[in-house]
Amino acid sequence: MPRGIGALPLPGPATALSALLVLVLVAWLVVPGLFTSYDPLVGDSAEVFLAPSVAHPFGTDHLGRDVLARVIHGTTQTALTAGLAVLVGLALGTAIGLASSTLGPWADAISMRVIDALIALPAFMVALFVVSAYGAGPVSLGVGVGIGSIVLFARVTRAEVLRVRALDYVEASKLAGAGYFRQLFGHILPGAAGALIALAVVDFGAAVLAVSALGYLGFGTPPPTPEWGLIIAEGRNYLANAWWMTSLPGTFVLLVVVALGVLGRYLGKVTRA
Amino acid sequence: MSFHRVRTRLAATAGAAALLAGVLAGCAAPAATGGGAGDGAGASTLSGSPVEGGSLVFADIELQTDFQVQKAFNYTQSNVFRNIADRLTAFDPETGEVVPWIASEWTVNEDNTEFTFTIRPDVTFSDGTPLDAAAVKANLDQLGLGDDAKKIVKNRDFIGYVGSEVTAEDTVVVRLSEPNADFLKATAAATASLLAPATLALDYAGQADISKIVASGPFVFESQVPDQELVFTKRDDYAWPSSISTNDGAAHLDEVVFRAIPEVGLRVGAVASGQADVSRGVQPSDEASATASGIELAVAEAPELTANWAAFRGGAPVVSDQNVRRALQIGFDREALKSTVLSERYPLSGSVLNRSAPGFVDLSDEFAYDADEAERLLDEAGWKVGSDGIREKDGQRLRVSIAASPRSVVIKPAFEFIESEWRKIGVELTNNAGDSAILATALGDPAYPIIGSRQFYLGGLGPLFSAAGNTNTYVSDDELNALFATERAATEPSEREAVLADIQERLVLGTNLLVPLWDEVQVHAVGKGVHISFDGGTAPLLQEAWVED
Repeated sequence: MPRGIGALPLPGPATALSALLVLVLVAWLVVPGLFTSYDPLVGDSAEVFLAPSVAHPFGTDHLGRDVLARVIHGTTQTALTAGLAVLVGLALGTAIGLASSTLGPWADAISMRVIDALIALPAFMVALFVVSAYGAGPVSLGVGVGIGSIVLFARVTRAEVLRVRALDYVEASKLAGAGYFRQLFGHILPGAAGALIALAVVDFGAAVLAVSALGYLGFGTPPPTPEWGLIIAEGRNYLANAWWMTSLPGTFVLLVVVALGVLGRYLGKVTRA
Repeated sequence: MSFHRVRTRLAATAGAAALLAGVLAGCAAPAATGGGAGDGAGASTLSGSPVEGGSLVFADIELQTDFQVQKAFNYTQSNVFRNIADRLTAFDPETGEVVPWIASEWTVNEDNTEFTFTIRPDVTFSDGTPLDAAAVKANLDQLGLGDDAKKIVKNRDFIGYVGSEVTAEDTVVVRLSEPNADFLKATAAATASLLAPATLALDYAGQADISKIVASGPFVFESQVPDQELVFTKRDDYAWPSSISTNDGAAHLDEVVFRAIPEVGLRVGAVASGQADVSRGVQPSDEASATASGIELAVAEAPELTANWAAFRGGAPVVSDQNVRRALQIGFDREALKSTVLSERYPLSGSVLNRSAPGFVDLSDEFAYDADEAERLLDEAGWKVGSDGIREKDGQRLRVSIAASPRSVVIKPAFEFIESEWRKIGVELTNNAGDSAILATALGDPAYPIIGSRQFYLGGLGPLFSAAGNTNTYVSDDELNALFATERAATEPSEREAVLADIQERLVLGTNLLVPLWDEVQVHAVGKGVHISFDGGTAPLLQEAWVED
């Protein structure tokens, strides 16, 4: 069982910085207007291709729009799409993992072979497949990326359930006459939740990367709505004369993914401790 | 302030910035510096005495797979056809006149229905067969009549074509069922390139296959890598260029290569690094860095084409309302468009035609930027500003979309700019410019609201905007059709200019079907020691070109 809050291992500087970055992201998600006064959609034609400066930390783009403003306002689109992906992966993956580990050997064999088949398909390709079949857009993009992460959640859930089920207190509740659902939702799932939460955070980072990459390829939100991948793609044609249009948002996405990975690992340690 | 601190940290890591961006972009262009405008430029870099031999690599935006001659409407096709095939006549961009090529002279009857061509002697196709009057007739018949069995459509410019007759060994007479003064110019277009009878005998797939096309031009097909490059070699016995060529005989170059570089940001770099000698489609933001690194910019003007415009499909939702069309026409700042996403090399358009075109009338004062008037017109049309700034009527948003070809490097950023301008007057634009898949479906769909384009019009404006086969506006306007007929029947130049003025006025102001944007030019990056010029359709004239050692 997870221990009390007093026993948390102290976060290192990397974890603290990561947490800070994620907090900033949450703030951008909720109140983007507080962090930039520039319009992410309408530029100023007198301020085209300005290099990074105090006024424009990420520079301006070919239409004179502040790139940082587009990144800040793009948080909503990217985070919600990635969030949808994690939700899909978590819900379906956990359901499959629970079924395989608790419904007997047949259910286990069948569901795990399905998962093996999914493993054979690269997650990115599955996402591409869904997006091309159902049309570009944030919803199909989120679902497509989410389907790719079902595998991870299903396997981790199964492993965790098998571990937790063998613990004494779960055995005890079974002997005490608790039913299937009582055991499952009262004891097994809470015991496995820590690992799943940690995985969800790491997966959120991976989803941000996948969503950005597909957005970069033009499968996400249509322009001019800012979305991280799209912002990077828009800068691609101007690499020679405006490096900041791709490099700074690109570095930013990289940092976000790393930060989420670090936080996820920390949460994993905390919940396992 | 934690937010500020994070930003400072990010700035500090800027040095390592290439990491993810580089991975995502999958490429890197050579570093270049600069901003602002480059120096002067011209369409020709022919100077000094020609050097014989060598190879020239022409980097294009894409390569076509369909080279069926009637369909050679695109730059990527016409650039190739100009160098592998000859035409009856050539268009002189200096004078705007039609000059001799394979036809050494011609006469036209009084009512523009009969054209008699005298065919130059001793011209042969690369398979050895003669390009004589009979071969010319075979070509004109396929162009003018099409071939239903092979699914080859008529050449859209050959209006009223009845047939050709070989009346002497070197004479062909063309008869039309209705007057068409533009017919002569139509024979100077890429879509009227002359092919060997052996090629005309092939089915559609055969005629579309560049490796099977036999013609009489200065270069002959050698090899290809589909979608990547086409290689042509010089024909040693070539001796029949158009009368305005600076080279009477075979090409100076031994070999020319057309190579596709679809990534717009890389085309200048390809010339800078020597991977290409000439690149078509330099984006305005790369012009300064190109000149800074010693690359010459050759700006090819395009009197054979119309200006760039956005055409409304008259029957499409929302834009079927003329008030909306007028509002969109005057609802964006063209000067700001030019300073933001174009360059000084792109003159703002004053009509359907380029400023340099014969018969151009300047209507720009009549569609000058006026946001207040645009908003008034939209209000009048019943579109009220909604909660998010976009107008609505009966629960429907004021949303339009535009499709345009990827073969123009400026049209996508231009509509990104126009999108932000129209947003200010409450119009939402979905910008699909640059997506060839969407363009292909949009061209065939009259309900798709806007198409951005510029087109070859040697055959006149009639085939582009009249009734039959008009995929630009899908409107058959009686007044316009009457004007087109008058224009084709006109015999006096002054009479034709007057009608042409009426046509432009009707298209732009009478129907508000067209939004004039900017004059058509193609900016090329030309490497050091490369001497090249361009025709009136911006095609490279490789028979006259040479490369210094």
